[in-house]
Amino acid sequence: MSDPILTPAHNNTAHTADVLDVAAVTVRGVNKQFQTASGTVHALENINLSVAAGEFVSLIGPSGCGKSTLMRLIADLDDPTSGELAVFGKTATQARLDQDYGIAFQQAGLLPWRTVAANVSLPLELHGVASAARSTRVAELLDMVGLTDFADRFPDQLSGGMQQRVAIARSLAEQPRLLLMDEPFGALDEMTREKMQTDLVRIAADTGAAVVFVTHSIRESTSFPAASMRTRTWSCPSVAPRQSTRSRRALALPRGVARPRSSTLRCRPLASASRILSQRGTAKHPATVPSTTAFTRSLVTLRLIR
Amino acid sequence: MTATQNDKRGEVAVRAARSSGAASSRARTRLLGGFGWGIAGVLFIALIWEGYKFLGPDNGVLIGELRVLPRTTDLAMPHLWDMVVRLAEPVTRADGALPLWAVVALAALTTLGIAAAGWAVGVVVGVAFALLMQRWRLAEFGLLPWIVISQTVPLIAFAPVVKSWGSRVEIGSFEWQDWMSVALIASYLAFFPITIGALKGLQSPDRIHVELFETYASGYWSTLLRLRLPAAVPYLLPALRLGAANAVIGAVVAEVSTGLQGGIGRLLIQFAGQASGDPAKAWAPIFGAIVLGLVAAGSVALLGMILKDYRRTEEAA
Repeated sequence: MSDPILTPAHNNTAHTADVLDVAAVTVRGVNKQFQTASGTVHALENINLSVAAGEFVSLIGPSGCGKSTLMRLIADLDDPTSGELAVFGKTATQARLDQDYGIAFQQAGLLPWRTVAANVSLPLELHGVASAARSTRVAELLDMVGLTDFADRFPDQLSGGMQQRVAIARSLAEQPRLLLMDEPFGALDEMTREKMQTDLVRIAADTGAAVVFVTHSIRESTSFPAASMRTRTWSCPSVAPRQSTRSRRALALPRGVARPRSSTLRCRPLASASRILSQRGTAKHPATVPSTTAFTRSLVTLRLIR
Repeated sequence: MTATQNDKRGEVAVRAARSSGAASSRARTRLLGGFGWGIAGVLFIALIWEGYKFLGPDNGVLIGELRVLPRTTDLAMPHLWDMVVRLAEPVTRADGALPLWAVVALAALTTLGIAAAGWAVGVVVGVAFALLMQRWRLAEFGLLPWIVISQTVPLIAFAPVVKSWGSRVEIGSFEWQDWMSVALIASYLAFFPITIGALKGLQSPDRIHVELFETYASGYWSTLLRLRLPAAVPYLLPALRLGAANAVIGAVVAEVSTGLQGGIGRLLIQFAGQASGDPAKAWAPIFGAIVLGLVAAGSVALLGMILKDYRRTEEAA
């Protein structure tokens, strides 16, 4: 936190003690509706979520369940139809203007005319960081994502996974207190993803940043290194009709993963969580329901407990 | 076989370096190939010219009363070598007359200067319109139809009008020159493709990029400078090239219709009038105009080479 590069965007971290008490993200009773040609689509209905400073929360769910929408609301790329939303105790717009978060999207979204290094330094450049400090920081970040040798390459000379690593380095450039990640590892191969996951958790822990991580993959969300995880399920109106919320109770659940709908669920740590997924339908554990089924029609939040 | 094995074993960086070397040699081959085809094209046209002149009937080919192919007499179709030889001879029989090619070159340079001025004005106006229309949707709805309509007005019709308006302009010590009317008309033709291309380019950034800049709380000007303008380059370059060609045509036509001396347009008319006595001479300004167009388009191509980093998506596609 004493990094001199951070000054412009992070002058408010001077009062670190105060800031730590404020939740990174508070979502209260948020609804989001989209008007489309075929009528109103309820993307989010009465969502409550709180992400404490330094906390790691995944938003899991199938396509269209509103997880990306929720993230876009937090990032102030969209406005909620109703409900309250605060980022570090401020409005989402103010938080965006104050550069309180870093963001990485599903696609890398690199500027094709900029080299890898220039892409990473883009946010620093936009916020007036001096050129010397910029190049030090960029070198640091590229080292972290293992792309030091590719600093002078252009994005089209990189594989999809490398591009995504550049995007992640870019999102970390200003050491934000909140990281918003919209399926950023979707395009990566498994080995790189595992490394990036471990790195992300480490970086988040090191910098004390809160992370909101959007993914449709339960496997991915449960494979972050953590002592344990806590899940909470929200019905998701745009995907499922209301009654399905009730019928989900009948579903058998794997041991370790508690019933959905109860407010706090405990599942076993990493190892068992991934074992649950690999055990589907073996003789010993007859058709343990895949957490996938339980999650199919809902938006699930999953907190890593360190 | 060995090569593939090496490739597999080799480090990524090594492979990348080799492939970029291969790419540059491929590019060189393509460039040479381009030149080759260009020369072949010119030779082909020359062959058709001389071939038809040799084989075709003196009076041309007629269907009924209608002549579908021209006469092949020296008056209508001089030999190519006559045209070239004529270029080297003095323009008139007067003492100390410059060789024809020099006269044509000087006239072409004059026209090039006027066309360049018109092009520059066209770039400024075109980009300004595009910026306006990109920023405000309402401006696009309001302006674009008029911009399209502006191009339907025949050049010949308003060239004399522009000249007569220009001659009445007097601001302080500034006095409107006749060449400025010509440049203005050239710019009138040049700005249109530039407006359209620049607008398309400025609107071209992906949503993901626009939103990224939004999350950086980047303002209009810094987004323009770092996102919209760089993204517009691949759209802008062809538009600038089209604009350059239009500016040359506009300048030549405007010279003719406003009667401006010293340019290639005037020379075209003047030498065409002498064609009955000196048929090869009339072709010299035509060659001049062709070279002029090539130079204008080539300068924009040069610009494209300078901006090659901004055209990476275009090359990949």
